[in-house]
Amino acid sequence: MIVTNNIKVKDFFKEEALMFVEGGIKDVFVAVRDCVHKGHTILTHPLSGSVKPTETPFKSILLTETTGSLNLESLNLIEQAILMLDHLENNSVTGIRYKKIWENIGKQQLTGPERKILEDFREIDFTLFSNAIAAD
Amino acid sequence: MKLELGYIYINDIQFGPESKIEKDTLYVNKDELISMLLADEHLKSVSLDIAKPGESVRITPVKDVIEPRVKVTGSGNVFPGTLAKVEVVGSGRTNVLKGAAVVTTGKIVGFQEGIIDMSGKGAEYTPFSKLNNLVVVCEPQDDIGPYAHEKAIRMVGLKTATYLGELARGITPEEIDVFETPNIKEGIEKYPDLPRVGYVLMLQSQGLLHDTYVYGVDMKQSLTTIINPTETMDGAIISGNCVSACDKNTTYHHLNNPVIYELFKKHGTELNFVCVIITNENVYLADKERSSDWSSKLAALLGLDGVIISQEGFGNPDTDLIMNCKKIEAKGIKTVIITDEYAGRDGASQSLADADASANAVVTGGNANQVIVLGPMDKIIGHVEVVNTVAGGFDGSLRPDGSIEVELQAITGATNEMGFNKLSAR
Repeated sequence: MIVTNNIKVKDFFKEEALMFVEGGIKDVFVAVRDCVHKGHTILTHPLSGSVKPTETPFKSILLTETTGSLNLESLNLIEQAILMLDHLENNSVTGIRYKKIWENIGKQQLTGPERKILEDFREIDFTLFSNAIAAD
Repeated sequence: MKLELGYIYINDIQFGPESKIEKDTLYVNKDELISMLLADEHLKSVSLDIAKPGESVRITPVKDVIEPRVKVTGSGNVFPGTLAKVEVVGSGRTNVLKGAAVVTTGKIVGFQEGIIDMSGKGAEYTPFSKLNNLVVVCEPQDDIGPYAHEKAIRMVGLKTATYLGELARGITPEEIDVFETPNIKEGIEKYPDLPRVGYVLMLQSQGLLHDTYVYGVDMKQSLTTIINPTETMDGAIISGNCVSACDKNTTYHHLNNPVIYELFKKHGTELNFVCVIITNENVYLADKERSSDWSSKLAALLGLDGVIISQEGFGNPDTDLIMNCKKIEAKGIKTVIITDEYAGRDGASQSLADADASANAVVTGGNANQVIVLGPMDKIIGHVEVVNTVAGGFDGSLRPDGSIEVELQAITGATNEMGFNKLSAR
């Protein structure tokens, strides 16, 4: 099962079980944590790529479709990812700047270079995710 | 395996009517080189520029840095499996243009980062400010996607380094260094009482802008395996990685891996440097388990007493690093890990996305969240417009006077996780 807020991933993996999250990376992480509590296991690392989770608004994570008992490794993984995101949002200069930017992004009509940058972020998340899912 | 590196010292670089090396100056025939590079149909235009130590020059966004080398004797050629055939390298003699480098720039994605300042505060944080750089600025054809664009620029860097390296083929080096590791049986017989030490070299392997190639093989497709340390000196490992600027290993870093060089200095006296274990950093968790299972299995099979582990990148590679450390320690093998940190602007927070009690011997490459102000430079080589979006997408860190407030993260090589840099703290 794919949990994502990236339209590119949603459109490409039409045949797969997919939960589309409206919102930013924090919302994706929280949705994944909810799934872990429901018994899903995480299959790809939430902190994919070296572009920081504060710098890009898109994230896709693969979990098992079936559920079982609570997987503590998965829980630890997503909690650590949330901690890292919170840490960068509050303790790094770039993270602080970006938090404001992503909060406003939905209210703006993006044009030109900024739209291209968002498209690039979608592509990076898509490539990291599809390389990972190829191993599944 | 035994390799001689012959150093030809370069202290100046200039454009001239003929590409050659005269005394310690590298001359480059601009037109000839550009013409050669434009044979790649993916490129619309190529321009060359020069950046020397101390100049008021900023290069951005940096994709890769490569040191020019040429294989004079011994099997194979530099950059096997990529530019050269796949023949095994790492023996014979290779000449090196020491003090020179090729820097490629390319705005493959809108948010790309990577700054090299040749003077001022920023120059202290990148090793490439000390080199005589030939900078290659490429524009791709309009219709090629980011994958083809990245590959084109990767090849441009390697081809340029090979073209310059070729100029050193017939020159007698000023200095020769010799590097030799015996095979396993010879090593045990020769150094029976020295601790057996290996180096686990973790390679970035996640996808576009995050890949590494070994003999042309995409490392994300590879099982953990063994390589002779001298093979890296002939370009067996090349970088397709450009994120983050501070902790990506450029091809220059792979050619000049400081862990390998330092282990060689002690080899045969304090320790027996047995081999290098290369492993990857895939996003798929089962791959991480498999790769770290294999690095610990190989370390035990080789009868190692200790390993140094270096990682590359941020976030999920921290998980690989801790897995490698834990599993190797569990085999009774001591580890030391080298990493950088994202410890917040005050340096006080947890630095890694993962941790374990057995990771108790750590060398840090520095805090990538450290804020620094780079003064304005007279000249910018590369893509001027990205300066305002450096270290991310929509940022406005460029000030009206041309100075930039950035985290160390944005400076190429600033917190290198092989421990390449010389800054230290008490």
